[in-house]
Amino acid sequence: MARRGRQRKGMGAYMDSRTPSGFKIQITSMVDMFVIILVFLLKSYSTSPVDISPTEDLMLPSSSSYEDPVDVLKMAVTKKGIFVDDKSIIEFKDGKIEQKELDRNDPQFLMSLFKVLDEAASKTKDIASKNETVEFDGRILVQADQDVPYSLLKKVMYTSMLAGYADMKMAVASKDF
Amino acid sequence: MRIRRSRSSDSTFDLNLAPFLDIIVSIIPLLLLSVAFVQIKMIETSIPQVVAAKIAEQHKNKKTPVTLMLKASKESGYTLEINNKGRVKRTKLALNKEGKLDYDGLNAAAAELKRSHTDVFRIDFEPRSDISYDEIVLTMDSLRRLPKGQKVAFKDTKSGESIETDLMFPDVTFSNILDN
Repeated sequence: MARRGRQRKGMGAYMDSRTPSGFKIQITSMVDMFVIILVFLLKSYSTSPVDISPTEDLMLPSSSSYEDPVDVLKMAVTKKGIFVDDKSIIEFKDGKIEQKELDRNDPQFLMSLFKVLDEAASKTKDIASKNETVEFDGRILVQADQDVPYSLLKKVMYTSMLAGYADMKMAVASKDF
Repeated sequence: MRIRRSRSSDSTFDLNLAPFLDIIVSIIPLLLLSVAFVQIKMIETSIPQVVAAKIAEQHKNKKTPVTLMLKASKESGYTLEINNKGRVKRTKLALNKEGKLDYDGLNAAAAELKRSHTDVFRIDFEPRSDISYDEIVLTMDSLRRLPKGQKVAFKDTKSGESIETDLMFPDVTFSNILDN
């Protein structure tokens, strides 16, 4: 009671004279916005094992295919070169494959690509011989640019088939998205 | 005498949205990290292999199956070949008005073919070297399904039941891989 009765001075007296503030931040509209963003992000949430960010050199064609990609060895055929698991194997010169990359006796055969694929295949086979849960099934996921001609794809398919990767899956962008 | 009391002042309250906002703010960065702006799908492609099992299967059946082949060229368009017990029938589909491959025409021709050979799901595909990957994928899309709303029935060999499907030729094999 004694404290109440005491008169404050200066800034304290000024604050006492003010009516209590009822100011509140209006967060309703912000919550609305966040909910919309949340719904959009949930819709585009991906659990796919294949993560591809389209670049200028690798634009996948759109397809009505509905099969989900599998997590296998990945090969990319871009406008600049051929990559196996993000490692550059063959670089193109002026958008074309260099003559030195081709086998003299078999123009469909890409020597450096075969070496890498064969190495990957024997590695998986080695693991499969020791670990029963691992199996070499010769599956490979090819991500090719939409403008890549069939002449180049044919060489890639032929070489990977000879390396043991005969079950080829072609990555495409979903039309329904 | 009853005292009438207004309840309007008691019933108004502000919903505390702060904890809800906290949850959303922590979920959004997590989702932003795993967002995929391009959804990836895949197409199964078979490469012809010299597999004994395949030959053995054909010997076991003791009948020559109907084989279908599609050739694609930028100059002449599509050529659809049906080999029925040695008799080959060719259907040509010219390029469309824009000078591009006629995907709608191919879909219609394949649908007609499917109705006469309901148990065939495999087709050999021979694109010419100048055909792009995009055109290959669009061709395979045209061969995969019947036009919207249409279905065909085929007999399941195991159960003997008639099964309806809208699939035409989902099993596309690149048969000219080994040709040099």
